[in-house]
Amino acid sequence: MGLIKAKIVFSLLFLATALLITGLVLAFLGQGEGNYGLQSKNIERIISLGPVITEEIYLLQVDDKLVADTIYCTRPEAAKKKQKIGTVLEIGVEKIIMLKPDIVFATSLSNTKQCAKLMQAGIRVVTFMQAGSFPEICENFLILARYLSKEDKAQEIISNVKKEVEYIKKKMSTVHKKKIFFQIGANPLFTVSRDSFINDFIDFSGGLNIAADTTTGSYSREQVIMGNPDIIIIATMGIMGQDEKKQWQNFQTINAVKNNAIFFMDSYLTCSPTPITFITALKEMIAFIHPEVKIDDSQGK
Amino acid sequence: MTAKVNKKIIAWIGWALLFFGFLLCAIIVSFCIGSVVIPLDKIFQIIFNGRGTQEYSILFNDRLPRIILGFGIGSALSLAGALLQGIFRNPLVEPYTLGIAGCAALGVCFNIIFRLHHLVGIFTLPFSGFSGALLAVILIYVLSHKKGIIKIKNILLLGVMISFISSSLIMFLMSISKTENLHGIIFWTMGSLGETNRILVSLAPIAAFLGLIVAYIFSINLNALSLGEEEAFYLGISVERTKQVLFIVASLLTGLSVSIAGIIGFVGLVVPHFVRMIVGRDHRVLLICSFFGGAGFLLICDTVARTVISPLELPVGAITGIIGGTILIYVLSKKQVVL
Repeated sequence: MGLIKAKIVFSLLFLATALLITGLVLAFLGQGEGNYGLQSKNIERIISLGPVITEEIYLLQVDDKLVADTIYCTRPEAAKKKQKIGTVLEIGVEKIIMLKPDIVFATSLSNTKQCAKLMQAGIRVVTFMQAGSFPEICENFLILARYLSKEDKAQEIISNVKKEVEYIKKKMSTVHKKKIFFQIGANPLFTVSRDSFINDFIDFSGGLNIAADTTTGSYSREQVIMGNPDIIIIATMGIMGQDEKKQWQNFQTINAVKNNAIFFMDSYLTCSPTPITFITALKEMIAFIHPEVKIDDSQGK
Repeated sequence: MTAKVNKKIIAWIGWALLFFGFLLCAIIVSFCIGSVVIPLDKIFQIIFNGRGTQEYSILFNDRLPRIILGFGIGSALSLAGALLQGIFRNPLVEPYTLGIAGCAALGVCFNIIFRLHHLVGIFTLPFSGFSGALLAVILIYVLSHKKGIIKIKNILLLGVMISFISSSLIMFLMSISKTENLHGIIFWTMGSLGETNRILVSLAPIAAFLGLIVAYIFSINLNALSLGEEEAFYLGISVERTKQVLFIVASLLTGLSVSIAGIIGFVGLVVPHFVRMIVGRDHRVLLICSFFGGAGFLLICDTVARTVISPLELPVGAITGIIGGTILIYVLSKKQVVL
């Protein structure tokens, strides 16, 4: 008697489960693709998923339309006060939907599945690929400006920056090139290859990146010793940076160590450049590498 | 039919309904709670009238696929765990200790690093995970199949070894990979219910349900198996076929889960144990309750993971580990239970 009851109840439970699954799946599949609304709609509410984009929005003076950004968007100071919607790698999808943005600017590091969810919800998402060179930094800046109808301002900034860069390049082209090792990571040791805009810093400032041909960025100390750089630059990573300097000082055969030419550069400055901070970083690097060359700030303007 | 057996069967019905109720509650909780709390009465309103509003988007684009996935994967993993624990009669067994998940992870790693998904399209990631799992299954099977008999001890050892080798290979692949691939792999190993592809999301609960049905057919065999393989054989159970079919079902469920959602541990280990402590060892009730229990458990863990430090999201595997592990330790220390 009990067994038959059990069999009936269990069969009903199986049926209920099947119905539940079917119901949920059909409700899900029944969702159409999101519509982006009118393409030509004015952009009033922006959300940025990357520090570079945030900084560039402030440069273009449309920061009043910036509704939210990531917790890593700390430059300029005002950006810290905006609402936060996550990190560069992971965002709060629900929070972004509730903020009703007209457009979301993502980076190549943004979680693609979460961006897909935003698009399914009808939100416009534009992704910027990581810039690999100075021209690409300017190109990305221009594309951003076009979306925000600030193309003229961007062109102005870019042409000024380009003039300055050309002037610097010309001035540094006659200088004797010094060998540089640029370290961006420790444990494991990481440097930059030719495909990075940091390589452009090195090139334009009269330097030679000893690791230009590396494929993954992973480098060994032995390779550095063989490369014998004249200057070592470490992008600050907190305490690790100081430890790394001490480590390098053990290798007395390296020119950089002999001449006490191990420098630190702010990693925010070097790793997330806008066209303007590119120039700042460039000048800082020249001060380290070729302190004998004076860059006149008024030139090239 | 004695009164005692009757009582037991009534208890089963009670437990099955209770766990189903738990699952329904978990689904409702997942719908309502997130970085935005949408109360239950509002939900009905939104479903029928709210197309185009933000809340509608959140419910249908963000929470609904997570719920479907959580249901499918939680139930698949705990079912696989219950089946494996039944076949191997060993409390430490779960989809991960047998190397199935490790190989699936290895397959996905391989795919990401060698950029195969650009060649074959969006399905290659889950497909490579699945192939990895299948490879592990075939390997274990072939290596432990002697004279038509599957030796349990061999499989356990092999599984653990394959698991270790997979982790080491993954570490090796990570060390030689380009930086942009690295974060894709790490994301994936943290486990997430954020998959957006419609087919994959819908596949999860359907596959889990089919697995449940197949497993259920063998539930009496599993009961006999718990007495020991020889005893089961003399009771007339086709021991080899039971082990084969259920092992394959468990592996397929695991492979699928790992391919779609990454690595979410503890569900396959903790839920069957916990359920067994409550409802007993009879597989006719254990399988169903583990199925519902696992689904509900993963849904609750996911809700916690995406709400606690909103807008940031914790990896759901971390939450399943913390909550699941703590509950199990607590219960074990209270009762003198034999697993």
